Amino acid sequence: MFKDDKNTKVGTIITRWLFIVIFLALLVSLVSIIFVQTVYQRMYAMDLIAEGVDDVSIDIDETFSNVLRDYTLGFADMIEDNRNYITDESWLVDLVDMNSDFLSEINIVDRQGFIVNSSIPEYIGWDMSSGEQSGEFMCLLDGADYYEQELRGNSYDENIEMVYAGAAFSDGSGFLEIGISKKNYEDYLTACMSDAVRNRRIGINGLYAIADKDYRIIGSTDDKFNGYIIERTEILPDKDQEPKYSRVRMFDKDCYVVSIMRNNYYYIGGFPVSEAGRFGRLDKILIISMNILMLLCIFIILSRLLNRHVVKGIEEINASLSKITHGDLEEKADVKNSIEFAELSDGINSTVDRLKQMIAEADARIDEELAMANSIQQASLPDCTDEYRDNDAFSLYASMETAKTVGGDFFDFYKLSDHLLVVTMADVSDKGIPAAMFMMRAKAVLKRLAEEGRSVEDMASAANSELWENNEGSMFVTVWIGFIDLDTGRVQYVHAGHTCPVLFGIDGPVFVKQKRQLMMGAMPEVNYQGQEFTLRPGESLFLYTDGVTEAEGEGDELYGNDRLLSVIAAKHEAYRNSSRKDYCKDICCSVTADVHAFSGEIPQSDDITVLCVRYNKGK
Amino acid sequence: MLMSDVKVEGKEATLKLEGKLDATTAPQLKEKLEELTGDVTDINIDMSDLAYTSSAGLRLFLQYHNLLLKAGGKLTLMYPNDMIMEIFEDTGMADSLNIVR
Repeated sequence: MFKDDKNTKVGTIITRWLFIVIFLALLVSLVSIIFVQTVYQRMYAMDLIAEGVDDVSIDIDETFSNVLRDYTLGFADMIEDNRNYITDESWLVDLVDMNSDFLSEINIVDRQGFIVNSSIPEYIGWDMSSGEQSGEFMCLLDGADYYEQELRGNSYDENIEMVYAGAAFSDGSGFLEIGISKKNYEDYLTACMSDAVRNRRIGINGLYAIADKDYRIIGSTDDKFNGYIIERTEILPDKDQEPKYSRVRMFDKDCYVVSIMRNNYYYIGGFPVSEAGRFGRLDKILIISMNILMLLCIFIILSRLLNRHVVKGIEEINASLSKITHGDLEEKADVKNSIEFAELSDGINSTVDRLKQMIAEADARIDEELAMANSIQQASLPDCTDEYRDNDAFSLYASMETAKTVGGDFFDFYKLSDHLLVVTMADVSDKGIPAAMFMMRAKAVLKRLAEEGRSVEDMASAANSELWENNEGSMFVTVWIGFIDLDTGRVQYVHAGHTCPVLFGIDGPVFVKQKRQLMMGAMPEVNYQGQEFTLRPGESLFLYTDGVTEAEGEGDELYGNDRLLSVIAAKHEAYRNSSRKDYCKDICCSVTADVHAFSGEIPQSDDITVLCVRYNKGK
Repeated sequence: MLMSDVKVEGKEATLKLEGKLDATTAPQLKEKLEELTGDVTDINIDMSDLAYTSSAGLRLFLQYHNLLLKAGGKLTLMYPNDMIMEIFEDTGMADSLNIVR
């Protein structure tokens, strides 16, 4: 449903799922509420209808019974008041004739249970105790006041269906029995029925109907339905007394319907579903809105809690981790709002502490190794604690101060013969251990090739090719290498991308600026050209790396060439009238010291390497 | 230094540099070049608005010159200003690199 990925915040994910779960819970509760309500409502409606239908049928029975009782007791009183009716046959016949729309038969029974007078002459002399139906009335001779039967065949002829009722005479001389023919009975009921249900309703719009056994409606709440034949007979019960429940379209409405059968009539009640729905409507609205409100509250409280106790903690931890990742190892994770977060914070803190400890240990080890590497590197350079003097032919001093303990600069000087001095100044294009190793290699290659007796341009080209091998330009070295003929002062050199040396001693200091060529190791094949100039006796050559001229000052500017020249000029001037002892060393040291003075508090960023050689021959 | 207008067309990429290329900005260029070399063989660097390059920049140019050459492509430096051209010439790189003036 939702795409949760690494770009989704945990708070959002939790809130989404919380929302889904709460929404589903709401849906389930609503469906169940509606379902239960509907079932309950149906049950309630059905009960209501069944009760109503039952009442109607009972009402009708009672109405008939009451009339029957009134007749019976009234006639009995009348006969008791006027004893000669007991034997007057024609009176009984007249009485029946006068009430023929209801009354069908009157019998008078004597103390012994024999019919002594009747509106039907054949019955006179009938022994009441001789038949099952008529025998039931013998109770009136044993003290009962009134007895009534339902419609049934009489004892005289099973096919004559009658409703009988009897009332005892108060002097114990017998009883009166009256009979209602089936037709009269049914006519009466029919009349009763349409009265009983007319305008009688279930709820507001629920209707009653009574149908005869041919499914014709003979009475209903609304007269307009009378005479209508029920087509959907499946809504009617098959047997007496067993109510049939259904839901059909009736009286033009979707209704719950209950029908019962009594005395061969169908009593039907219909109650519109829409009205039944009103029973629980307010309940439903109330329950549903409380539900929504409650789940909404749960949703808000849960997401607040999660945000406060989990998400915020995670975010704070992440912020701390981010600082740590970016190198701030002093950062402390400090989320303590639960045991889990406290443990997480402590875990992170102790991990960082351990990391710091390991870094410190590694640092110490690396420092130790770098110091060792530095001493090896320094040892590989010619020893220059003091100024080097060679039979007054030349004097020389050089020094290297590395920026990162081991550096990529180097200088070198050696004699190939009594007459030939080689001076080298070089700068590898990087710093640290790799640069130092490349520097060692370059230094060895240059010296080996020089010792093979090649010309300076030849050896430079060969050195370039060798340094290109297995390196292919990832590191390179700027080199100034010169062969100095100690007899003539002629300097043959190759300038491979290095800084320009300073020539001084007789005229003011100047840069030896001729053709500069590509640094070594950068390209597979470079044809270096040898260049030359001549040192006059008393003249010196100052070689250096860009650690001097590109040293940074406090005002963001670089040391620069001009300052270099002026320092050299000033130092040279100071020696004008004194011995030349330690002249080269002094030049070098004053340049180095001036660079440090220039940089001030700014840490040295590059190796500072200087070399000064003075040609003394003839002086 | 600003890097703008990186255009890639097939196996060729062109990017334009502005400002100064020095030890602090060279790593950005290196990162960009590293990213590009996976997809392209030829890289053109428009230097018309580049004021200055330090040795760190020179080193990058040399490295990628060699790298692309080895991969059968090439690095072309376009329209360097006079100052940068002088640096190329001073260091002897002018002869080796492909420079379009």
